[in-house]
Amino acid sequence: MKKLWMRLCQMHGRKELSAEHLSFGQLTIKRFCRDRWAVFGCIVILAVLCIVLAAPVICEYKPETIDKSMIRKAPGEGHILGTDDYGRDVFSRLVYGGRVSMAVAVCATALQLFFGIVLGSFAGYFGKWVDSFIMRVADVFMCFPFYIIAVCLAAILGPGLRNTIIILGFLGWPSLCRMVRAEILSIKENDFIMAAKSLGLSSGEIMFRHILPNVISPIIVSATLSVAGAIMSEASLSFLNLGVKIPQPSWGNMLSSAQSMNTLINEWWRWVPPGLCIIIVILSINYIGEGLRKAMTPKAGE
Amino acid sequence: MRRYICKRLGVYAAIFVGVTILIFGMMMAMPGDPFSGLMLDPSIPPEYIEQQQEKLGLNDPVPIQYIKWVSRILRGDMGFTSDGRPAAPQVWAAMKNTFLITIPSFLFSTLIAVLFGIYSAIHVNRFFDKAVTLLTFLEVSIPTFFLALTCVKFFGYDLQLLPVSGLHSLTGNLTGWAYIQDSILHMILPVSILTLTQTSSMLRYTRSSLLEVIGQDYVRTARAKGLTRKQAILRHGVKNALLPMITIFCMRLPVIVSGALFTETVFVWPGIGMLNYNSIMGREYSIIIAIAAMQAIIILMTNLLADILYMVADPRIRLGGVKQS
Repeated sequence: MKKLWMRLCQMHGRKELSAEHLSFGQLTIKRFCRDRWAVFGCIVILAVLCIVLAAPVICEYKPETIDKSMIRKAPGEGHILGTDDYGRDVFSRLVYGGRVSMAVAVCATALQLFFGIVLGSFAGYFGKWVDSFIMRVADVFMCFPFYIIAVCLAAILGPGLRNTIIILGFLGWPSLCRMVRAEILSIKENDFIMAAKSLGLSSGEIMFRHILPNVISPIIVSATLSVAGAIMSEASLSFLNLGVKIPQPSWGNMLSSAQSMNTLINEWWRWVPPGLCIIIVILSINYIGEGLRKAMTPKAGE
Repeated sequence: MRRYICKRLGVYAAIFVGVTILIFGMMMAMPGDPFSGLMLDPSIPPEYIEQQQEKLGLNDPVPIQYIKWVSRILRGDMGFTSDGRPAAPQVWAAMKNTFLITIPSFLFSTLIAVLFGIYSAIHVNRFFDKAVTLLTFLEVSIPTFFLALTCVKFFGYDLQLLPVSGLHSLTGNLTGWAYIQDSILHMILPVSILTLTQTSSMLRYTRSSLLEVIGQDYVRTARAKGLTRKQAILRHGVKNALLPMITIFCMRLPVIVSGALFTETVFVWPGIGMLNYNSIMGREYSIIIAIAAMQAIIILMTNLLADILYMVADPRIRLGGVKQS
C-alpha cells in the first residue's frame, strides 16, 4: 500500500506528501520565505530595529546635547554625520529619531487596530442600525483628505509625540474597520457559525473565538502596511512642524530643517540621511506586507 | 433603480450632517473668538460687545449656531480672517493657482497610469512590467516632500536648470509670450512631482484590475472565437477592467481642489495647500475650517458622482440585480 502511495506521489512529481502536515502558520512562513524581497525587507527591518534599540550603546553623544563650538560641522572626525545648527550630533539624532518614528508608528497602528477591529466586528456582527451607524461614522472620516483633517487636528491639539500618535490612530481606523466588517459579513454566513449559535454560545464567544481568527490574516497584512503609512504620516506632519516637536528628534522633523534654503543646498548631511532612512524602512515594510499578503492568500499571488 | 438612488441620497445626507457636525465641533474646539481681545479693553463698553455677540449669534444655543453656520458655508460665506478681511476671496485666489498645477498633473497622471497599466498587464512579467512594478513600489515609499526637496536641490541649484519657487520670476515685468514661458518653466517641477506621486497608485490599480479580467472566461471565449490575445484584451478586457477604475478616478478628483500640501509648501506655490499651511502657522482658524469644509463637501459630491457614473456604466446596478450593502 505504501509502495503504491509512493508511486502515485512520484507520478505527480512529488517526493512525499509533506504539505498536508503543515499548519496554516507553517505554510505561511514557508511561502513567505520563498519571497526574496520580503525576506530581505525583514532582515533590513530587524537590523534597523537592533540599531535603534541599541541607541545608547552606539551613540557617543546625546541627541539633545547642544555644543555651541561645533555648529554645522560637515561629517568627519568625531561626528560621523556632522552636526546641526545647535551643534547636536546628527548621527545620534538619526538613531534616536528612528526610535521615536518607529514608536509613533507602532503605537498609532495599535490604536488603529483597536478601533478598527472592535468597531468593524460590531458593525459586521450585529448588522442593522449598529452597522449603519458605525459605517456612516467611518464614511464621515473618509470624507476628508487625510492631511487636511490631520493638520486641523494638529492645530487644535498642538504638536507633540502623544498628540501625533492620537491623530494618526484616530484617523486611520475607518479603512480597517470597513475591511474587518466586509470579512465578517462573508464569514457570518458559514455553517460553523450557525453551529456555534445553536450550541448556545454567546455573541462575544462567537465573535472572538470563531470569527476573528478567520479574519486575522487580512488584519495582519493591513497592520503591517499601516505601520509604513504611519511612519510616512508622522514624517510628513513633523516636516510641517505639526508632529514631534524639536528638540526631540524624529526623522520627519530632521527633514524639516531642509526647508531653509541654506541647509538644503549646503548641508546635505542634515536632511539626506533621515530621508533615506524613511525610504528604506517604508520600502522594507511594504515588501514585507506584500509578501505576507501573497503568503496568506496564495490565490491572489500566484 | 429609483429606490437605489433615493437610498444613496439618504446616505449622503446623513454623511453630510456628520461631516458638518465634525467640522463644527473642531471649530468650537479651536481656541479664541473674535471678541476675546476686545473684552480686555476697558475703553469698550461691555454692552457693545454683548450687542455685537448677539448680532453675530454667538449667544445662541449651539444647535442654532450650527444651523446658521451650515447655511453660511453653503452660501460660500467663510467668515473673516484675523485682520478683518473676508476669507472667501483669499481661498478662491489660492484655488486658481492650485488649478494651474493640479489639472495638468491630473491629466498626465491619468493618461500615463492607464496606458502604462494596460501595457504592463498585457506584457505581464516581462522586463517593462517588472521595471514599472518596482518603480511604482519605490515611489509609494518615498515621502513627497523628500522627492520635491531633492528635485529643488538637483534641478534648481546643482544644474541651475529650472526655477524652483513661486508662480513666476520676481525680476522684471514680463509681458505676453515671455510671461507665459516663464510661468510654464515654473510649473514644470511641481507638475512633474505631483504627476509622479499620483501615477503610481492608479497604475498599480489599472494593472491588477486588468490582470484580474484577463483570467476571466469571456476573454478566453473571445480568444476561442479567433481573436489574438492582444485583441481579446483590448476589445473585451479593458472595457470591463476600467469599470472599477471609475471609483478610483472619482476618488482622485478632489486632489484637483485640495491641492498638494507638500508640493506647494516646498515649491512655495501660493495655492490651497500653501494657504492651509500658512493659516495653521498664523492661526487663521477661519481659513483652516473653510478649507476643510470645502474639501469634505467636494469629496462628498465626487463620491455621489462615482455612484451615479457606476450606475450608468454597470447594467448590473442599473437594473437592480446586485444587492448593495
